[in-house]
Amino acid sequence: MIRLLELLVNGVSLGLLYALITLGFVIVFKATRVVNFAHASFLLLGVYVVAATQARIGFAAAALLGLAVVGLLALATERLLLSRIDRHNHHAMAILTIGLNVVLTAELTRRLGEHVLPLGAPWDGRVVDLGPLTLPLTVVITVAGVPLLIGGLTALLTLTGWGLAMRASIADAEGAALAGIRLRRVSATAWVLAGLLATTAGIGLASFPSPGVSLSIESVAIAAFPAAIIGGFDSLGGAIAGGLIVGVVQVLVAGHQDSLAFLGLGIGDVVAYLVMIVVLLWRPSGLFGSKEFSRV
Amino acid sequence: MSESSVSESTVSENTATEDTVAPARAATAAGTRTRTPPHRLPAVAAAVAAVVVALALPLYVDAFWLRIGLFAMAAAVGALGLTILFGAAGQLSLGHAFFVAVGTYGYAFLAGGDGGHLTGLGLPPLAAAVLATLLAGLCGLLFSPVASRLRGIYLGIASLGLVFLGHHLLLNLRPVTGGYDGRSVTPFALGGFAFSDASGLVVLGVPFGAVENLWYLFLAVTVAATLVARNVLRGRPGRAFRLMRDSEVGAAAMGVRVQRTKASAFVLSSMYAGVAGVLTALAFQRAVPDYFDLLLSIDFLAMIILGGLGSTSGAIIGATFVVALPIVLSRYADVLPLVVGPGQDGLDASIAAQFVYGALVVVVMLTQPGGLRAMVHAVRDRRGPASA
Amino acid sequence: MSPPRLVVEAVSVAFSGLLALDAVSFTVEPGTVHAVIGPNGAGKSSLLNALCGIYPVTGGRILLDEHEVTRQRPDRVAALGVGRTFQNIVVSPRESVLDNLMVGRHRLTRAGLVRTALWLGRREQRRHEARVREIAEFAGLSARLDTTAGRLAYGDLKRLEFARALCLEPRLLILDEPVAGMNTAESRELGRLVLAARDALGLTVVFVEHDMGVVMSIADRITVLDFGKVVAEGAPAEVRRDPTVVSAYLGVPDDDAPDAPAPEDAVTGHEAERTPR
Ligand SMILES: Nc1ncnc2c1ncn2[C@@H]1O[C@H](COP(=O)(O)OP(=O)(O)OP(=O)(O)O)[C@@H](O)[C@H]1O
Ligand SMILES: [Mg+2]
Repeated sequence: MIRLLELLVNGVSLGLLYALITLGFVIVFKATRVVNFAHASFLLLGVYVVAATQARIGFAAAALLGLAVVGLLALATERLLLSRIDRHNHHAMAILTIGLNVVLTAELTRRLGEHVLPLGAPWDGRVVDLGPLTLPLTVVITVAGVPLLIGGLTALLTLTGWGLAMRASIADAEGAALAGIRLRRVSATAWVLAGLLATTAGIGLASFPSPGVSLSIESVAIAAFPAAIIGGFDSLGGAIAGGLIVGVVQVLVAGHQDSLAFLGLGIGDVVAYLVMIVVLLWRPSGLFGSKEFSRV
Repeated sequence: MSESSVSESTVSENTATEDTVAPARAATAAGTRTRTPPHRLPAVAAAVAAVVVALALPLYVDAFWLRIGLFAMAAAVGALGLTILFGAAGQLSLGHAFFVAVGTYGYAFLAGGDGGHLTGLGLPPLAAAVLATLLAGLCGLLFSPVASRLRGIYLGIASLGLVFLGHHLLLNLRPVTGGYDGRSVTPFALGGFAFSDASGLVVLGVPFGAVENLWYLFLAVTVAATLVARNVLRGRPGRAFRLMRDSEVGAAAMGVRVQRTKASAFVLSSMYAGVAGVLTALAFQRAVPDYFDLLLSIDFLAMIILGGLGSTSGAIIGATFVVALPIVLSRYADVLPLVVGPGQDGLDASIAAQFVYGALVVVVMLTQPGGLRAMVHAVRDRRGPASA
Repeated sequence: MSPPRLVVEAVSVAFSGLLALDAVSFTVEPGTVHAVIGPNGAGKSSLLNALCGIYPVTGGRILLDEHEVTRQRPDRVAALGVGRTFQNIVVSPRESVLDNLMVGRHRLTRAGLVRTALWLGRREQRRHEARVREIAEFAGLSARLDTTAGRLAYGDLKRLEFARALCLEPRLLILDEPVAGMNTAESRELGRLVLAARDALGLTVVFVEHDMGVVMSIADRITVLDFGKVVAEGAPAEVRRDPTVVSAYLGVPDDDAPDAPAPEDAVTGHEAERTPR
């Protein structure tokens, strides 16, 4: 029972990190209709920068640097590359991000190789006893912090003018443009926001109990793709739900690895995709996605 | 049924007002149309020339280059399947590597024998190859409830899962796959002739070993795969695919059964991947799980994008480029700046190749969405009218 | 085959809360040309899309002769002999005009993947190509058959869609703004083609159009929609005089606009603001 509770808390923590990754991905998709296949490598780049610089400049500065680098990269991707493609050619944009992903992954593979770099976060390696539960400090911080972050984001989107513009153009880009909202600014903001969220989530993913920053972080982060599909791809609430589902299921399955041995070793790593396929068979547009009728 | 609807044609008869010319003329124009329109002749000539050169190559070129050719042809067949699926039907798949793996392991299992902890059916290689292809198609069919309901890029994300699930199966179905270490592959043989170094064949003074023998096998398969792909793309299914890609609603209004058509494109492309997998097995002579990762799927995508989406010749050119690039870079590492061979300190050739083609994908999307082939056409068209 | 009768009975279409069609009823007699008119956003395209199974019908039913087509899949509706064109042109821009027209033969041809792969689809293809060339000739596209569709002039694109719809050998022809963006001469020409095709092929025609010149000259009957409801129906001469039509177009009650121009002019004014893509 205690163990199940621990697993659940760990699962929710992982799920919240997925939710951050998925949120960024979905925000970009909603604001620009671009599927960013480079999202997971943005994340890895962010934590790599943190891990590579923390020994010299300290963790806090390194984290800010990581955020800044990915934010700038996302901005550059939007401004220098994607904006040169016809705004309606979403296929070309998605493929461009695949090319970008290949380049980024190659560079990170070259730098990281088989290494595991320590993240150096102050909370790394600590555990907390909460009554009968023993949890890594990372998990406690995530479970407490990420909801605050998401809440802040929601407040930003609902209360500020910027958020209104953002939501208007997410709902109806053409209409928002007619109403004088600058789509370029909105899409640039969405990209930067997604990069920041991904890096934040990456720091969580690379923290204890994870051994540190290695190439495998990227394949962990890729599970945000099925999470986005499960949630419905064009729904922010769905993104959070999808992330949570994937996180909890992964941790529960990995925790019961022994009794699930018939499914093979490492089933926890792929269970997200199984859940995704089941959800797609049941609801092709995901749990919270909207079914669109293309206008003709 | 189709007969009657044609002969029911009355449009031009009854409306031979000032709107139309005599119907007879239209009919004759269609009847006398040559099978190969003149503007396609250079392309046909080029294809014939390429095949002739390919036939003669083993007599002049050493095994290193022939081996690249084998990998390129295996990849080209897979790329043809993906270009039908994504280039024509507009359905992105990042799960292509999975179906290639089914072909590779399917062949290894069906043709392989029992031994140690491994099992195999020991079928004749040709039967194993055909069944492995069908098996890949069957896997495509099993995924088609998903593949037929999603559109374009979304399918790309969903199919990504196949690679991970596939990798999991390859590691865990040990008796069939050999787990992490993989399993070796029975060489191809047909009617007593072994496509191996033991064939003992000597042609024009050149001893034919495994590579030379396989070269002709691969060439035959690649040519057949290309012709089939061309027929499909130019015929009724290809036209339905392309309208569906450009507008699902438009295609449906023309009577195209959209879900079924998507499923059929997916199954066909899976079978192409299956053939590619069998060829890969024969070229490598070994099946290892780590080869079939997401990067392989992305390789295939890069091939068809660089070559030009939806084009058969583009798929072949793109496949050759993507396959040959890392091998050639590594071979000439000593003379190339920056690049180093495997195990040395510096820019690894395979990484360098990824930089090059990743960047090329970006550049192609920014400049010429039709790929390298379109660039060639653009240059030719620019020259064309001027010289004419 | 004789042209079909189309019966639309209290059909409603709703999009997440928005009622695009509210219990619309009318009947199209066999072999007639029926126009649907109304201001922008009235629900005309939604109506045509509902007829073709593209939009979800939330109430009522649609009968094509004895076949109920309500909530049928679009390809099934096409298989019953319904050919259509779209308001925002839907073609494959990178394919030749001939290839675009050949897609219209899809329902009449059989060659699947296996037969096509094995060179067995060619006879069928040639036979149908001959017929497609006749139709192209009729629509004035003969000289354009090898052109990439994306390079066609706007009027030619509209004609391409019209010709492709005929390539289905339809019994019911549905046209969504067939002459939008054409000049007067082109519009008149296409109007004549519609009547010629109706007479020659025995079609029933339903079309949506803002160009009142064309509507008045080729329609046998007109249904007027506004805010998803039928506000008037009748022969062209009746509809032209109907006061509710004038107000629907102008958006003001009749007596507020004593000098209300005839609907013809009102709609032309509308037309000027519309920028065809
Ligand atoms: N696919 C769709 N999803 C949501 N709402 C839609 C969709 N298609 C149409 N609508 C809405 O239904 C209403 C009717 O639209 P419709 O396109 O049928 O009008 P219309 O009479 O054809 O106008 P127009 O003359 O501009 O073509 C509009 O309010 C429109 O916004
Ligand atoms: Mg309309």
